[in-house]
Amino acid sequence: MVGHDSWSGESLKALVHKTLEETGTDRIGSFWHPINGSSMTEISAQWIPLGSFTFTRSDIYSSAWCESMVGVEHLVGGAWGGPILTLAEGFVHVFRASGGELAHWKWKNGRVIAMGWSNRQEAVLVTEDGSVFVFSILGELTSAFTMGPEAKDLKITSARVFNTAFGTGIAVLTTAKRFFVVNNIVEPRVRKMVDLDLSTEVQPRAWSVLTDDRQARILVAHGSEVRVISPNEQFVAACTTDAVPKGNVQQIAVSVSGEQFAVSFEDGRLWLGTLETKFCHAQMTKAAMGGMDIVWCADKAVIGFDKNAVMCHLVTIEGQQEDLFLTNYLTAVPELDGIRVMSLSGQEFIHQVPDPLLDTFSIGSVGPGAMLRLATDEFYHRSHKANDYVKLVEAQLEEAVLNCIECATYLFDPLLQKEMLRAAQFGKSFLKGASSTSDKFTHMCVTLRVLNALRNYKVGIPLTIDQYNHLTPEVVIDRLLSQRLYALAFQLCNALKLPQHLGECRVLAHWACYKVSKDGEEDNQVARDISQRLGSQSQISYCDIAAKAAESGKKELAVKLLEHETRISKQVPLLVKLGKESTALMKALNSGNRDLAFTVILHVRRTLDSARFSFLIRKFPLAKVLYVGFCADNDPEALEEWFIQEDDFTSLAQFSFKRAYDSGTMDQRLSHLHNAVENWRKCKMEGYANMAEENQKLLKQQSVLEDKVQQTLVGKTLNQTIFDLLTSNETKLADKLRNDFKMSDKRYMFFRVKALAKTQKWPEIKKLAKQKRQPLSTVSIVRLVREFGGDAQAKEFLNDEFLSPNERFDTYAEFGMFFEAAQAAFVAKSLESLNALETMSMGRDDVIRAISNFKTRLLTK
Amino acid sequence: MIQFDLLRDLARRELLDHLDKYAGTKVLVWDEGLTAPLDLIAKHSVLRERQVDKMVPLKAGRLPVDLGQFDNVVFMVRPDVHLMDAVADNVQREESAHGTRAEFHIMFVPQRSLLCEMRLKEKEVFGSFTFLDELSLFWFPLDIDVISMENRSVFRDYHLNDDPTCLNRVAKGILALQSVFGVIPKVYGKGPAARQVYEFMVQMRKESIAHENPVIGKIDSLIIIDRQIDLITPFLTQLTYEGLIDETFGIKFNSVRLPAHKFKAPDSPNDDFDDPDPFEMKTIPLHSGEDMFCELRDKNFNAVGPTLSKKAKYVSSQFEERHEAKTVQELKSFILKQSLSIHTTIAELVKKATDDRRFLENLQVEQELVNFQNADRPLDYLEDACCHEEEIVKVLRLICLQNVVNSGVKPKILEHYRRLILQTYGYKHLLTLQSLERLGLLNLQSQVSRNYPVLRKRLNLTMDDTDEQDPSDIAYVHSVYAPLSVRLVQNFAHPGWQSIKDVLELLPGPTVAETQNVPANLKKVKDENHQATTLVLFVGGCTFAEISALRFLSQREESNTEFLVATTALINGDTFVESLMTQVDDNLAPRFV
Repeated sequence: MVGHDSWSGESLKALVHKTLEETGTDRIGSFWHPINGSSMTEISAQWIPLGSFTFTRSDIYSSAWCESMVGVEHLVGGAWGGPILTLAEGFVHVFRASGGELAHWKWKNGRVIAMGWSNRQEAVLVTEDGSVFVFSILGELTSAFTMGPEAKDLKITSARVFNTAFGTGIAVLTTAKRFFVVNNIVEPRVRKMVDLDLSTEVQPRAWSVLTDDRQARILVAHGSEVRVISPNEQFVAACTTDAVPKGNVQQIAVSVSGEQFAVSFEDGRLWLGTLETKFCHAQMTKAAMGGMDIVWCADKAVIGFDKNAVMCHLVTIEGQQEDLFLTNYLTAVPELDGIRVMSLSGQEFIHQVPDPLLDTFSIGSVGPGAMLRLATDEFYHRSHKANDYVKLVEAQLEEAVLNCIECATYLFDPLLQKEMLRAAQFGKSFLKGASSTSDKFTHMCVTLRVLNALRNYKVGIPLTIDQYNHLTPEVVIDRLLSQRLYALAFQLCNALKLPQHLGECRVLAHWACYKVSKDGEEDNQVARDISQRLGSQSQISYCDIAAKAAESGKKELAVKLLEHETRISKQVPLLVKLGKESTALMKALNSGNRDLAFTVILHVRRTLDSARFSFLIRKFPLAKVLYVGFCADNDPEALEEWFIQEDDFTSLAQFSFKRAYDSGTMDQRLSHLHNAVENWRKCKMEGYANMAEENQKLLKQQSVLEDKVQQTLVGKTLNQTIFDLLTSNETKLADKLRNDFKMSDKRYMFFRVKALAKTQKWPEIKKLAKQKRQPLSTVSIVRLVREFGGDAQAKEFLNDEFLSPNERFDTYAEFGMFFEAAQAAFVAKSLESLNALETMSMGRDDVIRAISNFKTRLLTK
Repeated sequence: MIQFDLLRDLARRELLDHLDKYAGTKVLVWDEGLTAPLDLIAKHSVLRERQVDKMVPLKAGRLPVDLGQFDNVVFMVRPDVHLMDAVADNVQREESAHGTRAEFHIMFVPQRSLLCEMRLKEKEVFGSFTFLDELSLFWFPLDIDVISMENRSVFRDYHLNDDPTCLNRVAKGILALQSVFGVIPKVYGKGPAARQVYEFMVQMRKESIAHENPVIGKIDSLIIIDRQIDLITPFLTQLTYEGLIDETFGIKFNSVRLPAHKFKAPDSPNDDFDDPDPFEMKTIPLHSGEDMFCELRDKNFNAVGPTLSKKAKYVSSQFEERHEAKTVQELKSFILKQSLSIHTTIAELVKKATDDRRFLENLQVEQELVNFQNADRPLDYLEDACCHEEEIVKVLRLICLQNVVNSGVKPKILEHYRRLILQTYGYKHLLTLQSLERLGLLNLQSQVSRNYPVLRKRLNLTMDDTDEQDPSDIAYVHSVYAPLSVRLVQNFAHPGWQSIKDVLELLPGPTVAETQNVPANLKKVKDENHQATTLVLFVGGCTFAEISALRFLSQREESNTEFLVATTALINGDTFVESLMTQVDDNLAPRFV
């Protein structure tokens, strides 16, 4: 495997610098190099006008072709200016589009049936037994899967690797004439297509994949018919339902868009169209296309190539035809906007002439761009004619400038690009005020520099502007990263001002990951290099890099790198993996992230022996809290063990106390309570020990009393127990209990009166109420009397014997007995009380009348 | 001005995107803790459009639906390990009963959890789920100016259990807010939780800064208030209209449930035949979208009556004058009349509760406590309350208030209170008492100087002469007491925390005053009247009264600050105390039945 660690490759660094500084030319090198020197006037000379289209051929790289590519078993170029994959003499080779070798490795996985490039620029190889192998561009196996048992057992005869908007797919044809398809190699799910309904035993030869939908369909030739098959249906495509006989189908080719297809027939005819019976065109060809490779040229035409001929043959969808001179043809790669054709003499791009170029470079064009270009020419020749030309385009100056900028982007030769940009700049100087052209101009200059840098033969990614825009800069960066062209990628990100996480940071992270997985450098040095270059940017995942290092068995390096990670949630799991439990636990706890903390705690609980586990948990108070909480929910026994081990008597006391209430029998409860008391004593919490002891005492007394009075007392509160005893007339027992538990006089008196009231013993209550130094207020007693005896009994207490007139007033008012309240207020001679009563009894006219009566009597007195 | 409605739209979109992923008809199995909050996000009709044909609460056992009719079963749950048992049980039973064709999915709100997934694995159902999703719904937009995480355990987790991981989610929530409303340049705060939240924010931002949403800032500052620095306010009875509705009936997610028969129109025809069912409850939405409620909610309850009668007069005059014009105006007054009648009824119900003797006594004790009057009164009152078996939360609430105001209680009183609680409500509450001691809510008075008297004086926390009808100070929300938390915010807005440095030092925990870097192009554009927007984040919950007080500050004429509220939960004294209690179930069977 050969790869380039380009950061240390000084020459490339220098080169990158140069290409970004100026769109200079470079003719050094033994491989293909860019062709320059075509002049403006030559541009339209190569044009091939055909009906409403004009095609042209642009040379990309020219070189004496490497011998190694001749006579190989398989040869396939990748779209988007992609590399070339070959298989020869047991070796797989990957070459840049410009010819230099990127990688090679020995092939030992069986006979290869088909090869191709995935959307993500991975090499895909399909073998005889239906195995699919996916390699990175530098030859690292990234995934492998199989096309199902039938393919494995019966073998396949042919296969296709196809790309759609949704991913890269594989289609295979087994010896049993059945098709199997995987729509996306990222999640390979093999789907069987419906069985072909065939009348002959011949194995289908011509077939292709129609990719106009998420589910790919197969176009397969059967005699003179083309069938369309999918997982659940098959039908005959419209191109063969024409009445005219056409002979057997020779080849089927599908366009890059996946919708249009071309069918060639044995008798040399060609059909172009789409499935929806909308013919684009069906046309006979001059030369027989029978033995040719048919390739679509951007949905507008197909070209037939023949290795043994000196011509290739172009047919547009309108049916116009043209022979093009081409020798030593090797392979053709269909692109979004044309075809890249490789031959022994070099590489060229056959494509439609873009509109801006047509407008500007057609012979005799008077378009604004053309005029501005002329004006610029004259200006630099110091001719006064420049002024005349500028005058001519004055009204469309902005359009002219834009036109020149666009032309520049479509040209391959940096000199021509420069010339067009100079014209645009010249035109710009006549534009008044701010204009969008300035932004566009700057933007295009940057884009052109990027494109030129990519096209440089040392990089070898010849993208057109349309391809580049379609691919997006981020994907282009990806491609550079997969080739380990870190320096170039970094500078492109910088030039394009990509957001950090898509641009520079991503590049640095990739570089660092590569750096740590490489052997031969000292850990400290690597860590220092990385942290120096990456700095402390939080956008870079040091964790991913550390993980990579750990993966390559460099634990110490991983730990060193992790120190730079700011994201704790990523840092912690790796620290655990690396055996740094204590640091991991500390970080997890500090973050306050519960899940993270538990990840560590439960991990160490599983993996460490109990002494080391306890030691670790003990170090962090929060770890203790969390572990205790976890045990309380999941493992009560472990909880008790932990408390005992830690001499945590307070918690043990609480634990026993809770247990006491959980237990279903008196004996158990008392014994747990006893434990609780003991533990509270041990931690010098006498108060709680005493209270728990009282609880024990109450339970014991209650269960003894239960036998005496034959009713449930256990489980009741002291208040209730005393009340129950008093109600059952067990005054002595109640008295004793009250003394034992130091119940306050007031409360005890309250329950005495309440018990008496409940049992309707009014005379006894009166006796109590008359006692001196009564802890309970008489009003409280009256309230209790009313609760059980109603207004009638209450009235017995509402007289001078028990209450003052003012107290009587309040009590009456509280009970809602307004007449009596008014009476009491009158007796107390309180006008104030009467007024208050008046607002209270709003709506009761009879009461109001009585009040006003009392009021007049008070006032007149 | 910022409106949190935007968050609701974003959350809804996320929810519907998830639902769309599960093709076909669906049964939604709700964690009941999510029913109400999700109702705020997407109404049933919206869900029905997404082929959610059935919704059932999460319970162990067979699902109460015939799964044959459905393509999907979607569990929506909070990441709570205990809920996983019910989920697993559902799945297991369905799978063993008949090979159902329905696919199972689980959606965690707001985050997945390792422990939950582990529990599902333990129960051997983890593999049954096609999708494990997160609905990153950190905030429930309760109103245009209030968002809540509706997580009542934050205070307990952090201050009692020493577990700061709950604050990680709070910080995440703030980052989520910043991704919508821009990075908040200034961050202030007080209390240990405030510091911790800020630290998590910094760490998280460092990790995610590369992917930060480039949003132009809309919020100028964030003030993080750790509930611990003001433990007085939540224990006091709220006296605003909304606060009192919450205190008496409990507001849950913008609505309150009240007896339905109170709201039947007297002339409705059915009444002659059916006796109204006294237990039937009606859910009444409470939202600022309703003009009447918007006007009433922040008023002191004593000002609600006059406002209502003024409105009533206006409505009746409208009807008399314009009974011929069938216009929009008339329609408007009809709606007004309707909401007038609803709120008159609610106000009557609240009035009935507040006229209760014990409510008034309790209030008096509270007010005396914050004013340092009648030191013996609480003991006496509490003894009385315990005789009548008042709810334990009410008793604990007052005890806590006394304790906080006095920085602890004397040994004798401590013992008395403990005995009172244990003897009245059972010894099982012993663990709760221990928790309260740890939190400094029921403990011995220490010799160290007491803070409340200084705070009260320096921050003017108590006022004798608040005008409840037309207040001039935030103290109106508790009639005599200005919430300490909001007073700090007020001082922050003017004249600034510099001037109360000494006060801040008295409060627990560090003070946060930090600046977050904001790219120059994303800085907030100053509007003409230089209105600043400040987000107040309560870590550990806030009350409706505090929100009202903040609104009062926003609306004052001289104010140039608009306050928005984010809280981990809406609380009142009852729910706050409840969140601190340790539930202990008594499993002993009685001998005599």
